[in-house]
Amino acid sequence: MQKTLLALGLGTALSALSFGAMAQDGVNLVYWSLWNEPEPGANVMKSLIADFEAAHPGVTITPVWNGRQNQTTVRNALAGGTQIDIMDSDMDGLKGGLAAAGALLPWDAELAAPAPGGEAGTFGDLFYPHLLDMASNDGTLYQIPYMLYAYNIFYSQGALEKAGVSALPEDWDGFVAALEQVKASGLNGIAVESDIAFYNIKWFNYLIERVAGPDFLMRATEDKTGETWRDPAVLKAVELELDLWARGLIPAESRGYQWPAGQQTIAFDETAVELVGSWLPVELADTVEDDFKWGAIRFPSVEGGLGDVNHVEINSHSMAILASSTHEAEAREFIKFIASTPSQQRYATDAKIGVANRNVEWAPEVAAARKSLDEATLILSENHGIKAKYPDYSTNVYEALHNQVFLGSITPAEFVDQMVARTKEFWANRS
Amino acid sequence: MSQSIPAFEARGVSKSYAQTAVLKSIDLTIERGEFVVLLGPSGCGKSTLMRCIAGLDDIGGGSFKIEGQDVTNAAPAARDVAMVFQSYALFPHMNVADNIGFGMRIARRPKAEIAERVLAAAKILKIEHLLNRKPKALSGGQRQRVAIGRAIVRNPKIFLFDEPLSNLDAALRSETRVEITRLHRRIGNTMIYVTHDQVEAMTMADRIVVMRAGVIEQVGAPLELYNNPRNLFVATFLGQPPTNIVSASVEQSSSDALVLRVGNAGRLTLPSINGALKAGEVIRIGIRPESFSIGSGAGIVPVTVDLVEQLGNETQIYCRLDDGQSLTLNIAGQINPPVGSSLDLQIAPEQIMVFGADDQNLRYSAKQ
Amino acid sequence: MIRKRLIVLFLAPASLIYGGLFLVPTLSTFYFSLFSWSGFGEQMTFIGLDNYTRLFNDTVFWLSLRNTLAILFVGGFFVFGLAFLYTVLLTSGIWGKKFFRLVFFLPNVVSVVALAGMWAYIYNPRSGLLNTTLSAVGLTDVAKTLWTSPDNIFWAMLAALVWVFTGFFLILLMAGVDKIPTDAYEAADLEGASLWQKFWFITVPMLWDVMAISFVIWMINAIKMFEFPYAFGFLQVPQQLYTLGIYLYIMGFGQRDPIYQLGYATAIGVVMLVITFVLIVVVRRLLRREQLEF
Repeated sequence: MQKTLLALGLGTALSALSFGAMAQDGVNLVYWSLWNEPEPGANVMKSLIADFEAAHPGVTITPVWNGRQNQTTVRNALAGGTQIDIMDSDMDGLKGGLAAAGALLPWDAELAAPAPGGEAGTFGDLFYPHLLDMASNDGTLYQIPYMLYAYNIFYSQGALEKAGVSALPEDWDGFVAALEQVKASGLNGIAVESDIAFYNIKWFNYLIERVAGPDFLMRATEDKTGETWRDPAVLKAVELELDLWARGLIPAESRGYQWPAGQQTIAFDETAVELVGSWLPVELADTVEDDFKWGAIRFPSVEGGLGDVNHVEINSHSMAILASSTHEAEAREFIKFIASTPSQQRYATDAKIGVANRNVEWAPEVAAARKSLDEATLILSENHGIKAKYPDYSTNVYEALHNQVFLGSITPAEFVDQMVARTKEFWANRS
Repeated sequence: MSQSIPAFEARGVSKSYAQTAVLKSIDLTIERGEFVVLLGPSGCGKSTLMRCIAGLDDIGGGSFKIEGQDVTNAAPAARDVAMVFQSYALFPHMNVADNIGFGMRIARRPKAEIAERVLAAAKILKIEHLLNRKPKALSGGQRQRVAIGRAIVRNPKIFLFDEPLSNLDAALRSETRVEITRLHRRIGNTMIYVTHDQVEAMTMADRIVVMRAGVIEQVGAPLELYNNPRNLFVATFLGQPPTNIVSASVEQSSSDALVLRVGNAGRLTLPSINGALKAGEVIRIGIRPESFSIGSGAGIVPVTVDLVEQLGNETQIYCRLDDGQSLTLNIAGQINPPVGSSLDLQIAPEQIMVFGADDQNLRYSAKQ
Repeated sequence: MIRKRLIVLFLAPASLIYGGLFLVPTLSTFYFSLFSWSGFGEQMTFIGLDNYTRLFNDTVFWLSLRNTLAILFVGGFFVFGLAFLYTVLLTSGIWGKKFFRLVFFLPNVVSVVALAGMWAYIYNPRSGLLNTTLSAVGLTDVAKTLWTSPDNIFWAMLAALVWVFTGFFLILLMAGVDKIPTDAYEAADLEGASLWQKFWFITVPMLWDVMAISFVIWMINAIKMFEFPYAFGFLQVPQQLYTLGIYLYIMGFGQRDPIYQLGYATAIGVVMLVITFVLIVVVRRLLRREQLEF
């Protein structure tokens, strides 16, 4: 009763459409999707659904295209009693959301089963190493990753050639020197979207990792006194990223760029690089010239730091089955089908998106991202796990304050002081 | 300024809305201290003329002078006129004192002066006890006085009244009529008053300006217009009940007399109009209801009684000529002829108006 | 008697739906704000007024409140300042009154997402309409302004917001002005009142009712302001644009982040409700006047 009333009262922001089971004899799976209907990702999904339905007479799938805030939409609909079988969302979002709330079915028992479609190995073997561990909540897997994005430094080969840069070095000083050369040639070095804090935070994520190691961020976040933020590594990481502004490698007017103003300058060959997820080539596919060539390097190492160039931060989309589903067997069948190598290859080829299945060849635009994952010795989740574990801290404190220092609204010293104070405030309010 | 400069002059004033001319070359001169009534049916242009005088509407051609000064293009406030609107146009959020003193407040006069002059105006209108009330707490007549007060307090060169009595009931209307006349006598300012009510015009005006379709038909003192109308329109518009218009055929028109046949049996012999008409012509004549008397002898017109209204001091009789034309009679005193009975009517020949083919009064004399 | 019963009968379905869909959830909001609850599942922990003490100590809440009040007062000042100015100009008898009124109202019939996209194009530092226009007229220094940089983005958003809402309130005020009899203005013209004096002595007092209701509508809109700044933030709303409504949404529904603290979000909702209620009572007290007849 309470749930229903609340959903009625507060659920006005998003409309929830409900599709009940329609097939009288067969099974109808309701799938709420993170894709927007016009996206390439949705087109591939539509054709995969058609194939699955053809191979499984009696099973129909009804997709609802909700976009990236799908999990919120699904939660409100579930609270209102809507029947949904399958949904997908950001991996970290699911981990902190529906999986943590116990609303999803576990997958662990399926991992040792043979891979779908007669492929060699087990179902679990299809995925990148450690990916399933990262997706698990306290050792239990509630979601199956299917899209995979690496955060790399993407570049326009054409722009680099114009500037006479043959290859971008993967060490910080070399990287900066190469960008100086780009700048000297009259091009812009780095594209930045001022308003997207969760893009800009990647600079700090990588720099603090390269300087202080992959566990520093979580340590600093979980220090209830906030004092870990006073570690000199923080100041050093901030100063390295601010140096890019000071040198003019990030054009000053980027402070006023609202997405997608920054990334479009790459498509127009005015800017050389952007630190972003491997979805960028897909997003810009319609904007770039036909002969535009993408490349990517891993985030450079910092001399004397504790991190490693082989540590790569990723973002993933996962599918999951709602615990309230009445068609568990068919739902598992469908998700396995999506995760199978032929289906995943369709995504990689037709939509040019990276996938979670390690046996699949990625499109040329994102081949370098795939390579960085193949060679990775450690993959890191969004904001090194903070996003899934402390989402409000991640959004309201960490990303927001970083964006202020990154864009020059506060000084590095103020950033450190405020991180200490706000971390303390966060833990005080949490108790 | 010399007394010979008139209070108001209009020369060749015209105005059109879209393609329709609403004022056609109006010429009018008003002397200082005169009370002039613009009279005419609705749509005749009298209100438009007043709004143009006030400067609320622009004119298409011609000029206005107020006390010798050309105000054709002057802003309303620069003309030094005050207007009492038909709706009174009181400000509902201000009390009576503030309504009356509004203009002075706008002009940033000292408060003491405003209070003094508002009180003086209120005393003239006997509304000094209402100064703190809001308009909605006032009766129609009281609102009317406040509207007049707002005009008085400015002591303007010309007062403009736009049908100010039309929102009052009959009793209050005749009472206020008298009061406005008294006010005019007392303060002596030039006043221009628009109405469609000929009783107001007759009772209040020094001079009446009769208008029709954007044209001035006749200007003159009330009785002058009543007794000597220029044309059929003026003749019928003034007087209540209106002048009887009867068609008659000319039997004889000579330098001695004009003999007319009215109906089948009636024959009237009138003073000559010098052969302006020919025998056999059918014309229209105008006979005021009070011009009839009942009797016998020569110049008798027989009628049949339709309806009798007893008003006490007089009797109104509605009757028919033998050819079906209807007549209204106003007979002094009380008589009571039965309905359907016949009466013989006598008419003083010199009181009969004779209209030519163009509706002009053939007996009109342009004497001043 | 039968008539009255019939009326009650006809009103009953609407009252039930209204009460069920609005009144009860509103009241239950107070109840939920006393719990720590994700908004999902049955796990609710009663924590008394802890959500409110947490709000008191929450920097982002105060920032959101400050932004909301800036929209309410600074935005309101410009919305009504411009709406009044245009009302005076458009009712002064100029040509094309209906056309201008339509033009000013137009933003209100376009989706906020489209409007936000349009403003992003206007504010774009390099190719934007604003800066290219400024440099075209020779204001090259001003044309270097980064309107959507973190220091300016709130005011840039507010300017666009004022642009949207001015048209709406212009319509309300002009409808009120149209009801004022023209002879009131004519009487004032004869007394020599200036445009400003007519506005102050006639329009304002005779528009009082419409103004009071307009202020109340603005306050409600300003305090619950969500859509426009949210759309202005595109992929991710920058914290500089947080309003109470946006912060409530972020805390309750997480945008893309799994922040699901519905108990805390309802506490923000309660604060918004209380602010709205108090402000409406105060404003209605301040603006109370006799009913006018005209």
